[in-house]
Amino acid sequence: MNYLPFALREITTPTYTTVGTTTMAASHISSFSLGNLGKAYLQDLSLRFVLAADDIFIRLGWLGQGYIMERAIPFSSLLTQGRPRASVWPFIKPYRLLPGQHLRVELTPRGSVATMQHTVAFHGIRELDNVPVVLHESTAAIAATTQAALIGDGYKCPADSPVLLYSVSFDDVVSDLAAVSDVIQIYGSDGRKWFKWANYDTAALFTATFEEDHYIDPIVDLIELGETNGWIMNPDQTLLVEILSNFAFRVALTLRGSVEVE
Amino acid sequence: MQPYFSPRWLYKRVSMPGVVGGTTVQLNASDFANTEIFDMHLQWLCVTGRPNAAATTANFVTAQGGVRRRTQIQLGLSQQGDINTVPSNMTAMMAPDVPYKQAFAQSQGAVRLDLPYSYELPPDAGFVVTTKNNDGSGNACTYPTVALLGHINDRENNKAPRIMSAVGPDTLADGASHNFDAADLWNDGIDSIIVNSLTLSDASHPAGAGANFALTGTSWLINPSTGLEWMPTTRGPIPAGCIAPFNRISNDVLDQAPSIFRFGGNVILRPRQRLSIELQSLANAVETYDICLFGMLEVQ
Repeated sequence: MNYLPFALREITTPTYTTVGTTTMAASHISSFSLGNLGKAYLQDLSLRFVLAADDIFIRLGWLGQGYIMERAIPFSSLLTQGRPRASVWPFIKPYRLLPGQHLRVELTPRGSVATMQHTVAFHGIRELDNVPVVLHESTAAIAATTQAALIGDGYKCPADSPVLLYSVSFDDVVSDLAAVSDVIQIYGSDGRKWFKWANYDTAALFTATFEEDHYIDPIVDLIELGETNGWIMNPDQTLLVEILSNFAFRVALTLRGSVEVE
Repeated sequence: MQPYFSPRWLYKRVSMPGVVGGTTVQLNASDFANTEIFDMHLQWLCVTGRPNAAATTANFVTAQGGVRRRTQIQLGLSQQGDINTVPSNMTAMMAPDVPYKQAFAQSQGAVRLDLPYSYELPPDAGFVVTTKNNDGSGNACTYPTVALLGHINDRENNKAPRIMSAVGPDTLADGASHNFDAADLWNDGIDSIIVNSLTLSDASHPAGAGANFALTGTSWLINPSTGLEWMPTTRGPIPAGCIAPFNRISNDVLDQAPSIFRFGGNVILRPRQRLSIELQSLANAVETYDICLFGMLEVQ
């Protein structure tokens, strides 16, 4: 059994409707499903709005099984975590890399970034002797928007021991306020993507601020989920996120976690 | 009955004279006494305060020093003796857990507490929650919200998440209180809800203005409808920063973030035993301290 890190994203633009003098609440229900993969351990949910307003309400539930809350509550009342200062994604479950396997990474720096090298590093422990291991590769000096593939030996599992990977990090050279951030895609040993795009329900996509990246290094506001509070999604379940407000808004939701794979 | 743990917050607000008015304050014997018949497993002691208007002056650090840098504290357990034999500087003894506030949160967010031991809420029981706007500067709260997070064990013994949450009015004036609708905080299912965490929030402050809320801006009383009280109602509501001191939105620039002294190991306050606290302020001005002891009562 292995645990594949995943990130599902939905970008949507609910709108409100004016009927006579009454403004109807804008409402949208997002859904997240991993299809026929295994049991998913949900780590966190990040919401990013074009307009930061506090009277945006949220309600969580399961498709076909109803809501798990009596009523919608301000989304900020569930925001309890920020991202670390470094660009790192600690996994809720370790990803196990076997001897002979290796990872691959595609990376595109973005924003006002000087031509420079970029690094993506995986942090783990050798099962054989519990020695820490960092699997890392760097690009050549590349300019922003230049796509680079990291496929070298640095991402190979040591020959004598499996490695349990606990986090991935990259050199984030943009600040919290940057409009865009690097685009990164990671492929597991079988070519399976760690990250996914999902569920665009509108043609009016966001600006790059909202549509790109932030998988490893998500927006600063995170709703903690976690196994302790029962956030385990079975293959036949679909997580619903209902969002309500009294004005039009656009939102990017990102669900992260680890899913059981063979 | 199966033994279980019930959270208990003991809260006290103290007005500390500055060095001009006298230096040492010894808290009342009953303030942090275990008045139950069960052992209380001590977890941490939290001290917080709030920015003083004079803190905006150029030399505020030496003039005020928040509640921590220029304060000494001495703790002891009755019948057992001192915890620290000489008064300790609070900065050294009770460092804040969160040293910075995040610069670019889109929203202020909430304070969250993960209970050291889970609390089982049976069916047909719930929580009774009151909040009060303690801002003191005329600012209103917007949508004060409480959420109790947990899970049930379903028919197949799988965990399934549950959230009991209630929302206050869109405007809660400074000094006003609100009783939340208990129906929103009720376990009306057929399984017990295992409560693991709680969050408190006030949506009125966007990013950058959350320090007051996360300290003493709002106060709360959270109690189950059955069983032992979590927060004795006779003591009044407790500031959010004292309930959940480990949070990411406290601004520690002025030394006022919640400071936490953790009781290492398994320190038990026996029935009728008390924690004694003596404070010495070295600041020039009168300051208000909010002091809160958190423990888990072993009910059996």
